[in-house]
Amino acid sequence: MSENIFGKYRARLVREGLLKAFLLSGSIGLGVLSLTVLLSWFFGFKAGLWLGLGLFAACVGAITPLIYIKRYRPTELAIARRVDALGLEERMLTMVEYDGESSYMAECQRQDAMKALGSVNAMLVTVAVSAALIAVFCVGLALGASSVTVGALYAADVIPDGISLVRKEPLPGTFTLTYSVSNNGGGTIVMYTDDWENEQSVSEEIIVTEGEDAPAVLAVSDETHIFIGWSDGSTEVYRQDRNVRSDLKVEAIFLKISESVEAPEEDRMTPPNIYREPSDRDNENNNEFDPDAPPWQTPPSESTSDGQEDDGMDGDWKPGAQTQGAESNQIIDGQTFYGDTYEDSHNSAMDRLGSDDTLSEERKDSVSKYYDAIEQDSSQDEDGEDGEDDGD
Amino acid sequence: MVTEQDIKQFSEQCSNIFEQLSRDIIGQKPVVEGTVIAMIAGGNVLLEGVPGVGKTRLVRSLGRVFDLPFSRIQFTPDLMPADVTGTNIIVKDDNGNSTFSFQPGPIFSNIILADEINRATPKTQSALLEAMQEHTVTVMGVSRKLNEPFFVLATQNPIEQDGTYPLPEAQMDRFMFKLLVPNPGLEELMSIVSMTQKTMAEVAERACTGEQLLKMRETANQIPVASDVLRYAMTLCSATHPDSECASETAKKYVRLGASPRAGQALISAAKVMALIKGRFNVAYSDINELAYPVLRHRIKLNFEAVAERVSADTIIAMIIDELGKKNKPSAASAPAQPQKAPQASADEPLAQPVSETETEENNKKKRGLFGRKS
Repeated sequence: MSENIFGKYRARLVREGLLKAFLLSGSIGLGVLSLTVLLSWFFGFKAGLWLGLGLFAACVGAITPLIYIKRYRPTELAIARRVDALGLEERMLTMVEYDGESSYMAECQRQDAMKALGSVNAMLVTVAVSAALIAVFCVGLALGASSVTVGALYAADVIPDGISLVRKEPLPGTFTLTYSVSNNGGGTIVMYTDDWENEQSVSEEIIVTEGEDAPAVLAVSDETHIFIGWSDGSTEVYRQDRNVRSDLKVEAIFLKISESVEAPEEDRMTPPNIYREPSDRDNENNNEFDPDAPPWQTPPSESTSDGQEDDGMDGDWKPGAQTQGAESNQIIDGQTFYGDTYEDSHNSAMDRLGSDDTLSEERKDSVSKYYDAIEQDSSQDEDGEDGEDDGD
Repeated sequence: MVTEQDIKQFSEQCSNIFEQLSRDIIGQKPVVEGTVIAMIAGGNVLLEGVPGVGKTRLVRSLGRVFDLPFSRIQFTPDLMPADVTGTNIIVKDDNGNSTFSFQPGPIFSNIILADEINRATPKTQSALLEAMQEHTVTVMGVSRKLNEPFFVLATQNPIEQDGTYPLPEAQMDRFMFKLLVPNPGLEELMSIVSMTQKTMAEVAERACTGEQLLKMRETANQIPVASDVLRYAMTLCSATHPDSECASETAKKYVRLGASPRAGQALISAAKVMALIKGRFNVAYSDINELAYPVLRHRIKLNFEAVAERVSADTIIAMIIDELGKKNKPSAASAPAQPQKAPQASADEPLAQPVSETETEENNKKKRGLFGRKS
C-alpha cells in the first residue's frame, strides 16, 4: 500500500539520493584525479593528466551506483521519515511499520495518517543535500581544477616537473660560488655588501649570473690564527671574483699562530715575506693551483675564476687587503731564522742565473752585477753598524 | 480488543473529565492534564508546590470526578506505618474469644492523597512503596490487594525544609510524574478569588467511573509506537545516565544518577495516553519530549557541579533533548508539534484534523504544551 502512497515522494527522494551519490563519488573521483595528476607532475609523467581524468571518470561511473544502492536509495521507512518531517508527527512512520496489522487501532491509525498525508504538499519534500557534502565536493572540485591546471601546464612544457623545482637547480646562465673555511677553522669569511660596515658572514652558496662579478669577501682570522691563503692558491685576504664563468668552490685556510711553518727544503732559502718574481716555470702553471705549496710561493695577485690576475696594488686599497710585506703575510713566531737572508738569496739567485739557459750571457752579466751591487751595499751597511757598535 | 465504541468513549470521557475539573480548578491546566494522563496511564503523581496553590483541592476534585473512594493522609513526623497500612487489632467475639482482626488503614482506597509526604519519616514513607508499585499491602505477613484503580497523589512543599525528610530514590521512582504546581497568574488569581467569594464548595461532578478509567487505560495502551520513536524514548532515558553507552555530554557533566527503566515504561505509557488525548493514533517524538520533563525531573540526581551552578533538572532535560535532536535528524527536537484536539467520536472522522503549514507555524508560536513547556 505504501508503494502507491509514497510514489510521488519516492521520485523526489530517488533524485536526491542520486545527487548525493554523485556528489560523494565525485568527491572521491576528484581526490583520485588530484592525487594522480599531482604525482605524475611531480615525477615527470606527462600522461598523468589523461590517466587522472580516466580514473575520475571510472570512479564516478562505478562508485555512484554503488553508493546510491548502499547508502542513499530511499526505503519505505526513509520516505516515511521525510514525509513525517513535514509535520505529520510520525504518522507515516507508524503506518509503514504497522502496515500488516489488522487491529482496529491500526486501522484507525492508517486512516488518520492518510488523512494527514492528504493535507500536505508533496512539493515541500525538496532535495536536501547536507552542507558538509557540498563543502567536500567543492573542496574536491577546487583541488581537481588546480591539479588539472598544473598537469596541463606541465604537459604543455610551460612549467617544469615537481622534482626539478624541489631540487632547486640554478637557472641557466648562473654559477654557484662557495666560500668556506677549511675544516681546521680559525676564522670566518665575511661578505662585502655596500660598505664594510654592513659586512655579513657568508653562510651559503652565492649565485652569480654569468659574466658578472661576485661580491667581495674577506677572510678574517680569529685571535689565535693567521690567514694563510685560499685553497685555489690566492693569498689575498680580500678577494672578489670578477667576470664569473664557472662554478667556484674555495676554502680559506688559517694556521694556528703557535705552529711553525716548515717550508720545504728546496724553498727554505726564500724568505716568506719577500715576493719572489714568477719564473717561467711558474708562468707555465699559472692557472693550476698546488694546494700543497706554501703560501709564499704564490704571487700576491688575486686569481679569479677566469684566470684574470689582480696584483692587489692598483691603488684601490681595501681594508684587510693582503699586499707584499703586509703583516698578515709574514710568519713571526720567534722560531724562524732570518739571518743571512741576503747572502742566501744572493747565492740562490746566482745559482739559478747560472743554470738558466733562456737568458743570454749579456743579460746574465747584467743581473749578476746588479746582485753583487746589492750585496756590497748590504755588507757596507752591516760593517758601518758594527763599527758604530764597536765605537760605542 | 479495542473497538470503535472504546475510542468514542475515551474521547467523551476525556472531554467530561477536563470539563468537570475546570469547574473546581481555575488555571493550572498543565498540572490538571498531567494528573489525568498519569491516572489514565496508571501512575502515581507527586505534586510539588508552595502552600495554597490548589494541590489538595485538585486531588479531592479528581476523586469526585472519577467517582472513586478517596482517602487523605496528612503526613507528619509521628505518623507510623500502621497508620497508613492498617493493623491487626484484638477483637472479642460473642463468645468472649479474642482474635486478631485486620483494621484497614487509609491506604485501602482508590485515590490516596498523601499530603505533605516529605514530613513523614522514611520508615512511614516506605510503607507506601509496596502499595505504589505492586498495589498490595503486607501486614503481619499477610498480603492484601488494593482496589483498582489505585493512585497515590502526593504533595510536598519545596520551601519548608525544617522537619522534612527527603523522599528516598526508591520512592521517587515510583511516582510516574512529578508535576510542579506554579503560582496562578493574575487573571487566574482574579477568577479564583471571584469564585471562592461566592462559595468554597467543590462542584465538580462525576465524569467517569473506575471501571471506565480502567477501560480508557486499556484503550490507550493499544496505541502503536513506531520503533524509531520507542528507540528515541529509551535513548532519552539512557542519555540521563552519565556512564551509559548513550550518555549525553550534559549528563556526564551534571548528573550523578540517571533515570531507571521504570522511567522508560512511564514515558511510553504516558505518551500513548497523551497521543490519544491529542487525537492521534500514534506516539510522536513531540509527545516524548513533552513528557520527558514530568517523567524524568525527579529521577535525575544532580551532581555537585549542577547544584553549584544552579542548573535545574528541567534545564538538564532540555539540554539532553537538544543534544539528541542534533544527533538524530529529522529529530524529535525538530519535530513540529500538533495542536491539541480531543479525539473524535468516529474512526471515519479522524481524531485530529491535520492542519495546514501556516496553521502549524502559528500554533507552534502560540502553543505551550502540557506542563508549561514549549513542545
